[in-house]
Amino acid sequence: MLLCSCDRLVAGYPSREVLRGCSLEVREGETVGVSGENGSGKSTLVRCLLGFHRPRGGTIFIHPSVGYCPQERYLHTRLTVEEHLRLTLTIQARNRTPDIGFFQALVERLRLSSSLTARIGHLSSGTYQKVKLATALLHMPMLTVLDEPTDGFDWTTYLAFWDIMGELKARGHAALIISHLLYDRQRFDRIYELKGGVCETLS
Amino acid sequence: MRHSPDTVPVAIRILMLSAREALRNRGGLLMFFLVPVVFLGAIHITAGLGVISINLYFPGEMLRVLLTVRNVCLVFGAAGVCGFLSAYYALVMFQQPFEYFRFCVFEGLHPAEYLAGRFGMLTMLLTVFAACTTALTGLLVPLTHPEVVFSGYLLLGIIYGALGGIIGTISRDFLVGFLSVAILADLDVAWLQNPVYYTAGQDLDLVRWLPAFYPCQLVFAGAFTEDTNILAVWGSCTYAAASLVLFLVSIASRLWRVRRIRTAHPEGGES
Repeated sequence: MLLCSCDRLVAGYPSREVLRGCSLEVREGETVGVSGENGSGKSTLVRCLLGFHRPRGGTIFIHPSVGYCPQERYLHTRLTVEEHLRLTLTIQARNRTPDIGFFQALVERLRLSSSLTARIGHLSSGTYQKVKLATALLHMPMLTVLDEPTDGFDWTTYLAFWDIMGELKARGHAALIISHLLYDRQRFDRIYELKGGVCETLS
Repeated sequence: MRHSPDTVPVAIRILMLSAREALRNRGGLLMFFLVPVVFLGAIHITAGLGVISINLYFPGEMLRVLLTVRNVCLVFGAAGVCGFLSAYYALVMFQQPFEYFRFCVFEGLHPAEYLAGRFGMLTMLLTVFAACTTALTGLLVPLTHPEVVFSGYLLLGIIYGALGGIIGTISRDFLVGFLSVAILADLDVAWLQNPVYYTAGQDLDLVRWLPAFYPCQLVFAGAFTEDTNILAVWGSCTYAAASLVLFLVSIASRLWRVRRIRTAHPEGGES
């Protein structure tokens, strides 16, 4: 089943056009990567796909069960980690019954248990990144869009991240991972490189 | 951590989180206690007891009321403090956290729940500011109708709260937002409306179109006359309603595209 696609997407900013006919697709159970140089339009592509940025042309299709871990620091600095996760869980629980076992395991595996009472504004950049990732994943969306998801991770957390993604993939969930550096290329079903505003398939 | 969703409605949960957020804002708490005391204290100590006339515009007539410079400055100073605190707290509530709640909307939060929770908290704060400002003014100036003065400060708080919120939703830079609300409140309420600092202001049509004009007229009528100024009540309510509509439009303009994904058909997605 197709979970996300865009066709001849054109988008940019008043000063310059970033995407000039970009096309890609993500299907059920796939892990798809998008790489490209700094400023090539990776984040703009994601923001267009998810509705945060208005494209100038092209078509977009996206499944509504989607989790998003953006590159920016968007979490509310005056709330605690627990308050964040609980609010997200409560919001998501209306669409589908949450898998509490997965949620517990996610918190444990990302080693967030000791940071639950800490305020977001007091977290290290690595722990902040973990909270963003947990927020995107805790409701087990059909499609997860992750923009530079492993920035600031130590090696153990990096491996834990791929374990979690592997488990989700085995259940048929898909992931679109955006990064300027994609290591472990064997973990991806397909990698697009964003060059000159268009997506070229690498593998 | 309890690993289960909340049983309380989401709007109430957001209201509770907003209350915690307000209590954790140490800078805001410091300003809430210090700004009124410092400003009104300084005015009380330094303002003279000379007499000045204030123009009050009632329907079909204009009254000139003679008051001491100190009393005039105290009431305008209190209005400035109330307007500034309202605008500042609205800015803080709707600027940095806005991106976070935008993501919550993306995750499935209904904008009405977001607005109910945030506006519920903002209304409580504005009521507290208006009540405290009225109480503090009442300690320094004998007020004829404190309840009318409270209404005037509350309407001023709503107008400036909405303006602070609009600045918060359209500006990403906190310093720019903070300076904007401080200068707006200071220019309009504390300077242009106050005849002690800008004598010609009372006779200028332009000054009568500024957002603080009608609430200040309401406050002065309530503080120093026996009459209710219906013109000021309607004028203040019109400005408050217009500011709130603009505020809601500024919020909606940043939420509607994000919301579309969630309202798409579950099987079909968004095209």
